[in-house]
Amino acid sequence: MQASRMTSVIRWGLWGACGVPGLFLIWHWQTGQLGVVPHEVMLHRTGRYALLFLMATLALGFIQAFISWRPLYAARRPLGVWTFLYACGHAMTWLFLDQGGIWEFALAEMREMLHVKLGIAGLLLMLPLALTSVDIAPRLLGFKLWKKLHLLVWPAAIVVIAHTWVVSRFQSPLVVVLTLVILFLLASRLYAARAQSKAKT
Amino acid sequence: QSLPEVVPGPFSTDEALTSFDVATGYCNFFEFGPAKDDPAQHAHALQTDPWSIEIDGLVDRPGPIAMEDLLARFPIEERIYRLRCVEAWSMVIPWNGFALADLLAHVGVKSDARYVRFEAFDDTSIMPRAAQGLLDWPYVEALRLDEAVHPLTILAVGMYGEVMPNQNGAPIRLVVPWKYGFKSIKSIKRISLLAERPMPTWHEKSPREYGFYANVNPTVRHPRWHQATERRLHDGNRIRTEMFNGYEELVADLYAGMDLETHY
Repeated sequence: MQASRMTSVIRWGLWGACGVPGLFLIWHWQTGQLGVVPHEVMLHRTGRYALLFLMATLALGFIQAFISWRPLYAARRPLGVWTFLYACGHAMTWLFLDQGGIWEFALAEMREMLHVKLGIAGLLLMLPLALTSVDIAPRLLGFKLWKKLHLLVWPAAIVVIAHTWVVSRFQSPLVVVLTLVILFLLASRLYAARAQSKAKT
Repeated sequence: QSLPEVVPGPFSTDEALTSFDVATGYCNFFEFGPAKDDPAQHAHALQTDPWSIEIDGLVDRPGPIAMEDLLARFPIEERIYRLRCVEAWSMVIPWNGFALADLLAHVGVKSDARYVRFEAFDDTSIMPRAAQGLLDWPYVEALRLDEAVHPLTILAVGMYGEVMPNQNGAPIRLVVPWKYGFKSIKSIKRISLLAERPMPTWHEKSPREYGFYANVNPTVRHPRWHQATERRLHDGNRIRTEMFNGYEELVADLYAGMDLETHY
């Protein structure tokens, strides 16, 4: 009883809490608090939030390997879905504010710019994860397939961090740190998977 | 601080002006840091009074010219120009200044001069540490002599009828509206007339990305992005970039017969 109560507190608390940075951003945007070029700040902030939430989602998986506290599982879905929502906000900001909603310009960018290609690839990789995040999906797909499908988060993470390398012009020490963190998390996940399959045989 | 007696000059565009706040708050002036708001925050450290420009090289009358003498000698015109940054944003700014050709005529250019080299102020004591190591200081830019004496090319001492704000290149800067913004060097301390082509700072740092000419050209891309469109500040609308930043009729002759893909 206590644990399931904790689970819904974490679940619903996180659903709300993850939206707070976005609400603040919209509020700052609408009240002119984003400096002289608000579109650029919107673009950078939405991207940063998406990356942060993606890192948090991945890190949670790592933490769960050590702390098998049931309620913690409830945190994954809100973090994952909000990653996708911020990534969508990022893409919409790019399309409608940065490119002014002019398809001809946006398509030219898609054709020519590596970071745009990587960004779209990241979004497309996350799309099936977001679509199958509803309660009924694991049952419909079968839990095994659903779990396999959700391994897509790793290619998504790698594409997203590559996108970040390009937009930061390969010059940001923070991006290097984030990359190392992602690689560490991926390595620990692979190690755990190997240990598990060994234990089975 | 307002400039006295600014008269309207030729070549002005009637496009909507970028607001003064945006033009003075969103700047590239790497001596004061790499972020767009660094110059507005740090450039107050720049001492612009007294100021003089050293004129040397292939001229009849070399030596320093004080700011007061420049202001007394050359009437200040308003030139409303488009400014297109190589980073694909643009502004419309009412500059206040005078033709560089007038200054060059005043000092007397010798017949073997082919290029004009500009050098910016250089004082590491007032540069934030973030900017150090990014480029070789002092910042250097250069024009071919025919570009320098083109009537569009001005030395600006103010904008919006105000004395030039520090973050925009006080007290005197170059404005070459058909070239990417980095050619329009700020806070000029030295002007040299030379026979050989000098090496501009960005061109030296990355010749593939920043050409010597750096003419605004929507058909020649930067290695990391294309140049076909630009974001007009401050409303942020995405618009098409014009050949020579819309000054093609006035400047295309300068490059007749040149392959602009090679000489970018």
